[in-house]
Amino acid sequence: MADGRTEAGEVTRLGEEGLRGRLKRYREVRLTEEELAVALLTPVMLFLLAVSFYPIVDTVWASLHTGYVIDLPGKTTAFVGVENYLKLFSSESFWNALGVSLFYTFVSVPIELVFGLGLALLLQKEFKGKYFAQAAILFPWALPTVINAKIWAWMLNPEFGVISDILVKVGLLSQPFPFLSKPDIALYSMTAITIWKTTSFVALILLAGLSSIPDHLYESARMDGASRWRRFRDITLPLLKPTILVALIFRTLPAFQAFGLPFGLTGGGPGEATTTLVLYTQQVAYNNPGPTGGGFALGSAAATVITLLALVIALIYVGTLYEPEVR
Amino acid sequence: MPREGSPMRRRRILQGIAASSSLLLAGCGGNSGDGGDGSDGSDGSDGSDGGDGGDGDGGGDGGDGGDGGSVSGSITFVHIASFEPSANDFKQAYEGMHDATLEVQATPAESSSTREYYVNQFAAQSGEFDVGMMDVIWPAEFVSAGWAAPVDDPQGRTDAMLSTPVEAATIDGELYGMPMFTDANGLYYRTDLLEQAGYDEPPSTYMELVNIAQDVKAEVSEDLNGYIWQGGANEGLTIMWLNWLWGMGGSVRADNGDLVVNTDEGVQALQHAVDLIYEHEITPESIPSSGTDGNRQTFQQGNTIFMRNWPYAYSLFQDNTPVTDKFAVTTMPKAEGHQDANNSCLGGWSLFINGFSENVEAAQALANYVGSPQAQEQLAAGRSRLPVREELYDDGYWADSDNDKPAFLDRFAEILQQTSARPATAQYSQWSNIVYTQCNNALTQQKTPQEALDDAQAEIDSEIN
Repeated sequence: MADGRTEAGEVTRLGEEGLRGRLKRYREVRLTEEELAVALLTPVMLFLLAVSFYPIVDTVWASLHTGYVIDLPGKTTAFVGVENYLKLFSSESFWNALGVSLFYTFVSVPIELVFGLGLALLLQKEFKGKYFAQAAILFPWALPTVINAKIWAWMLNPEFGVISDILVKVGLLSQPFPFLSKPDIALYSMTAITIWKTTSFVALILLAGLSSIPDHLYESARMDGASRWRRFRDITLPLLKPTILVALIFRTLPAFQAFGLPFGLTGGGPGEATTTLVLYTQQVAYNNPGPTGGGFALGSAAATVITLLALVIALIYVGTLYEPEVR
Repeated sequence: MPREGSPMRRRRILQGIAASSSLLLAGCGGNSGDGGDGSDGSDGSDGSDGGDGGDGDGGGDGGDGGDGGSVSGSITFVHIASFEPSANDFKQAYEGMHDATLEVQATPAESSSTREYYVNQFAAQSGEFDVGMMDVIWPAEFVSAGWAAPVDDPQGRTDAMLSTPVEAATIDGELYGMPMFTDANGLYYRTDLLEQAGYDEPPSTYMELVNIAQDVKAEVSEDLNGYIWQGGANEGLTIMWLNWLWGMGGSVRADNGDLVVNTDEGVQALQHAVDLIYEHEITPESIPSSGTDGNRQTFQQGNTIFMRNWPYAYSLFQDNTPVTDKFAVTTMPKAEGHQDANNSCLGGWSLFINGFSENVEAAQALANYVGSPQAQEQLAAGRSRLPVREELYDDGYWADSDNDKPAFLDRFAEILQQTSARPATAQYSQWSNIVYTQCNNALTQQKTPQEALDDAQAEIDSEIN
C-alpha cells in the first residue's frame, strides 16, 4: 500500500463525498483510518478463519460422523449424530481423564497464584541483581514442556534419579522410592512439577500488574497510617484483580489442556492415573483411526467436549472477576 | 535436469497450490521417471519407461545384477531413530546401484510414536515419504486401510527367508512388506552373580528364576534387582504378559476367532507378574513405569541379576560396560510343566511402500535391495540385527564371507525357534492399549489380575470382537 494516509479535510462520508469522489480517492490509494484498519485486518482474519475457525468446525463435523473421517478413496464415512458423544460419555476412561484434568488444573492453579503473587511482591522490591533474578525465575517456564518432563522423569527415577538418592542420603527414605510407579504419587508429582514450572510465569504477569499501580496511592495510605496488610488488602489486591484474571485464564486453560507433561513424564500411567483429557483424546484418536473403531471421530468428539469445557471455565472467570469499572 | 528442491518440500508446495502454478509443475515433471506414472503395478524389472534405462546398475555390486532396469528420481526412506546407521548403509548401497537418490529421515525411536507419524501422513494422503519401516504388528491395519502398497518380489528374495517374518508381512496371500530383520526376546543374566551363589545354569522355569534370584540376593546383596522387565503402560507390557501366557501354554485367540484375555492362563500370567513384585519381591516396585531401554540401562549399571530384553542390548553391553563379559543370554523360562511352550515374542521390521508414494518403482528397488544377501549380512555383522535370510544362521555362509559370524546369532537362532506372534488384527494397537493399561492397573495393585482382565475383556468385546 503505497500511500495509506488520510489527508486532512478529506470528507469521508459517502453522502458528502459522493461515489465518484470515493472511487477517485481509492484510485489514488488514499484510505480513511477505518478503511485502512479493515484492509490491514482482513488478511489476519482470513488467516484465523483458515487455521483456527475452519479446524474447529471441521472437528465438530468429524465428531458427528463415523468411519475414516478423513476422506480416503473408496472408504466411506457416515453421519451418526451424537453417537460418538454417547460412546464417550459411557467410557470409564473419559471420566477418569476428566477427573485427572480437573484435579491437575484446580490444585495447581491456585497454588501457582499464591506462590506467583509472593514471588512478584519479592521481585518488585529494589535489590541488587533484580533484573537477573527476574530473568532467572523464568528459566523453568522457558524450557519446553517435554524437555522439562523428561528431566523430571530422570530425576524421579528410583535407579538413577537424584531425588531418591538425596532423600536416602539424608535419611528421609530407607530405600529409593518409585514416585512415578505409584498412581497417586505420580499424579501429585506431575502437579508439583507444573507448579514449579509455571509459578514464575504467573509471577511475571502479576509483576506487570503491580508495577502499574501508582505509587501515590501507597504514599497517601501510609500517611493515613494504613498498615502493611491493609495497604495490600485495600490497594494492591483490588487493583491487581484484572491482572489476576488474566493470569488465571492464561494458566487454567493450558493446565486443562495439558498434554506435554503427562506424555513425557509418565505416558499417562501407571494405569491411567495421569492420563489427562488431551492425552486421552490423542490416545483414542490414534489407537484406531480405521473404519471400525472410528478413533478420529471419537477423538474429535472428545476434543469438542474439551473446547466447550474450556469455554465454560473461561466464562465463569470472566463473569466472576471481570469488573470494567475498576480502572 | 532442472533444479529441484527436496522432494518433500516440492510435494508440499504442489499439494498446497494444486495445479494452479504451471511453472512449479514444470519444474517437477521435468525429472523423468518421477511422478505418479510409474505406479500402475509395474515392478522393478520393467525398466522401459525410465529415460536412463541404459546405464545399467553399477554391475560391480555382484549379486544384485538381476535387478533389471535402473530407476531414477528421488525417494525418501523414513526409519525409526535407532536404525539410522543401517539407513545410511542402505543409502550408500542404493545410490551406488541406481541413478536415484535415497533421502533418509528419522522417525521417533518408540514404535508407537512412529506409528502416529505414519497415521498423520496417511490421514493427509501424503507421499512425503516413499518407503518406511513397518513393525511386525502393523501390516493388518496398514493394508486394510489401504496405506501400504503391495511389494513385488521378482527375484524371489522371500523364498530364502525365515517363514515367520514373511508370513507376518503377507496379507491375503499378497506381500506388503520386504522383511528386513527379525527380533526375539531373551533372558539376559549375570553369569558371575549366579556363580557366586553356586548356580552354573540359568533358570528354565518361572519358579526356578524366582528361587535363583532370591538366593543370589541373599548370597550377594539384597540391594540387587532380581528380575527386571517391561512393566510400564506401553507395548512392552503387552508383550511381557503374552510371554508369560504363552509360557503357560495359553493363547489369546479363542476357537471362534475372538480375542480373549481373561482366561485362566491370562489371569495366572498376570498374577505371576504381580507376585514377582509384591510376593517374591525380586522385581522392583519401579517396574510398572519402566520400558525397554530403561531396563537396558538399569541392567547395564551392573546391579541386576535377570532382565528380559531384545537382541539390540547384546551389542551395547559389549562396549566396556560394568556388565561386559559378565552376562549371557538364554531362552525365556517357561511355566512348570510346559517345556514345549513358545514363550518368546516375535518382533521385527519390514520395509513397506507408502500407498501414496509417487515413485513406487524406485521404492520397489530399495525393497529388492534390503532382502538381498549383502544387505542382510551387513545388518547382522555390522549392526547386530537378526537377519531374515535363513542362510545367515549357517556357519557355512560365513566361511565364505569377509566377516566373522556374529556371536549373538547362534544364541538368538535358538530363541527364534520358540517365538509366537502377537495376534494379527487390524485393531492390534487398540487391543494392545487396552491390555497394557489394564495389566498396568494390576501391577500397581489398583485392581486384582482377575478384575483387570475382566475389565479389559469387556472393552475388547465392545470395541473389537
